[in-house]
Formats: sequence, structure tokens, C-alpha cells
Amino acid sequence: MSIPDETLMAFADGSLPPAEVNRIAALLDADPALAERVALLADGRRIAAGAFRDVLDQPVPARLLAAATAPPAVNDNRRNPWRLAALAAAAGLLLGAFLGPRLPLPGGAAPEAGLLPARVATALDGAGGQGVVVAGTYLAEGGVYCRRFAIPDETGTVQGLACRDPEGWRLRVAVARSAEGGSFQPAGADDPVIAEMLERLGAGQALDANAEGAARARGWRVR
Amino acid sequence: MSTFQTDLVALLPRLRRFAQALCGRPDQADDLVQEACERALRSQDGFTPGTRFDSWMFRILRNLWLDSHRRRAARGGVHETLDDAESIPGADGASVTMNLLDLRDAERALLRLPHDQREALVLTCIEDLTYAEAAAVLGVPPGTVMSRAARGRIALAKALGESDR
Repeated sequence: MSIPDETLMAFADGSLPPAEVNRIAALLDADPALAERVALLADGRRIAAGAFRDVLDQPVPARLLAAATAPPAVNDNRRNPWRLAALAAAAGLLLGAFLGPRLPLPGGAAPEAGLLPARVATALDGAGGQGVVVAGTYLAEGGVYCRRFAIPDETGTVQGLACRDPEGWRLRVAVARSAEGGSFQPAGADDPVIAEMLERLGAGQALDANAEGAARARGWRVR
Repeated sequence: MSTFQTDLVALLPRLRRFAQALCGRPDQADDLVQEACERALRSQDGFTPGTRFDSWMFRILRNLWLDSHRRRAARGGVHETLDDAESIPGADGASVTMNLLDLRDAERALLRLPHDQREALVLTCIEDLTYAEAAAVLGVPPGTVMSRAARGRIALAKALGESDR
């Protein structure tokens, strides 16, 4: 008696209706070759299911995290000033809630709509901000200032990149790293995710102290 | 807006697994994932809220994979099919061999399957999509997915059964 493989497969998966299950089970009892085929189908599923499972446990490369969180097509239009304003606006929107509500920023309530907690914002403004280390200032595409910061605590370091919009400092990307070997990671260490994001935002080298001071004096506006 | 990106970030590990199961080369797989992310962000409007986001991303990635094979075949003038692509040494022939050697038996056997069986298996057995969902990703009827998956499962079981003896 010949039964289609699709039916045998559904039997092996336990997805046949009960009446069918009984019918097939009776046929299998009477036909060892059929039973063998069902066993192969079940084995095949089990073998396939485990394949590449370890990929899930690997850290996701920084370039992929950056690709998934970048504003669309920034790189493609870097040389086109006409598009810059629009891109900056798009980037500003993206800043919105990305990772913000889920970011485990120590010592603060969940930031609202991607705006950073007051303590971090104060540090980014350049007016203190305890426990927050500002690690560099960049001028991104479209004339937007972005600053890299780190917040070390006993469990590790949160590193982030925030960009300034009219409402305040918005989080662009943040990375939490646990402390290795019981010691803090250096606060200024370049995180590849943040480096990728800077690249995608069209930011050049970090500003020197003079340029940074001037930007701060202008309230982080280009002019 | 940002929900889209947080969903995309959360899906990255599965996209990487899916891409590696399709093409077998970790570096090439990550290139595919990156390209898929960029394309997805450009065409967010094409995603219907309330439908499966993972299926939508799998479809984008799988189509990019097919495209890259077609481009490579056309450029090289090689009669390369998806099925024997893994065994053709390219400029990166050495590293390809290394990668394949590192793969465990099941993964190696999976990568030796004809591509249509492989993608049906990967979607239904690794990613646990239903036959109907896998059919939507692949653009073929559910019955076709079922028969390809059945053939793939039997081939896989036989391949590993023989190597055990």
C-alpha cells in the first residue's frame, strides 16, 4: 500500500487529524518499509532542526547592528547636499524611541521618546553630570552634533552615541558591555558599534578642544 | 518607526542562522544579512503590520541570495547552479574549504541538498514556519514545500545514517 510522503511526514510531525492517525498507524504496523520511511522523515527533521544552532549564540557583528539601526541610505547620499536636510530629519525621527525605552541606563527612569535622562543630558551639554564620561564630539551629516559617552558602573559599561536636536539629546545607539575580569572597561574604548554608527552618520574625526568649545558655546547648533 | 528597527535587531541572530544555512559561508552570510537589513529599511512600507516580520525578512534575504547566485553565474560565465555552488572554488576557494570542513555533519549534509529542498527544510524545520508560511516566503504552493521538505528530510536522514555506519 503506497502512502504519499507528505502524509507520512504529517504523521511523523503529529499534525494529522486523529482519524487519519489511526488509519496510518495500522498501515505502519503491517508494513515495515512504510514504518522505516516514517522513521527517516522524523530523523530528517531532528537532524535539520539542530543545524546552525550555535549561530544563535554568537555575538552579532557590529556592522550588522549598525546596518539594522542606521537611517536608510545615509551613505549613498553623503555627497549630495540637497538631501542632507531631509536625511538629518529622518535621522532625528529614528532617534525617537530606538532602544531608548529598553536601555538599562543606570540610575534613571526610562528615557521618554529617546530623550536621555537629565543626568546624561547634563553631561552631554558640558555642564557636569556625575558618573557620565563624555568621550568625544563629532559633526555629523546635515550639521548635527553627536557626542559619544560612557557610563561605567559595577556591572560594566554602557556606551552610547547621542545627537542633538532642538528638543535635546537623543540617543542614537547604545551598547551595554559587562565588565570583564572584574575590572571596568576603559570608558574611552572605541566600541565597534558606535564607530559604525558614526561612519553611517557621516561623522568625521572627533572635534578638537577648540571646535568642541565653540560648538558648546553655540548651544550645540552649527550657527 | 523605531519598533521596526528594534524588531530587526532582535531578529539578527535568526537572520544570520538562516543565511548560513542557505549559503554555508559565514562571511557571505553576514553580507547577505547586511544587505537584507539595508533593503528592509528602504522598503519598510512593504511590510504589513500584523503579519509575520520574520517571514518578511526571510523572503528579502532569500531573494537576495538567489540574485547573488544569478549575478555570479552570469559574470563568471560559469554554469553554476545553486546546488553545486559550494563545491566550486572561487577566489576565496581556500577559505570556503576551511569553512565547510568546520561544519558539523548535519550542516554539511544540509548544504549538500539541492537548494529547493534545503530552503524548504530550513524554513520548516529550523525556523519552524508552517508549510503555508514557508510557501509564502518561497512563492510556491504549500504542497510543493511539503514534497520538497519530505525529500530533503529523507535525504538528510539517509546521508547521516550512512556516515554513522
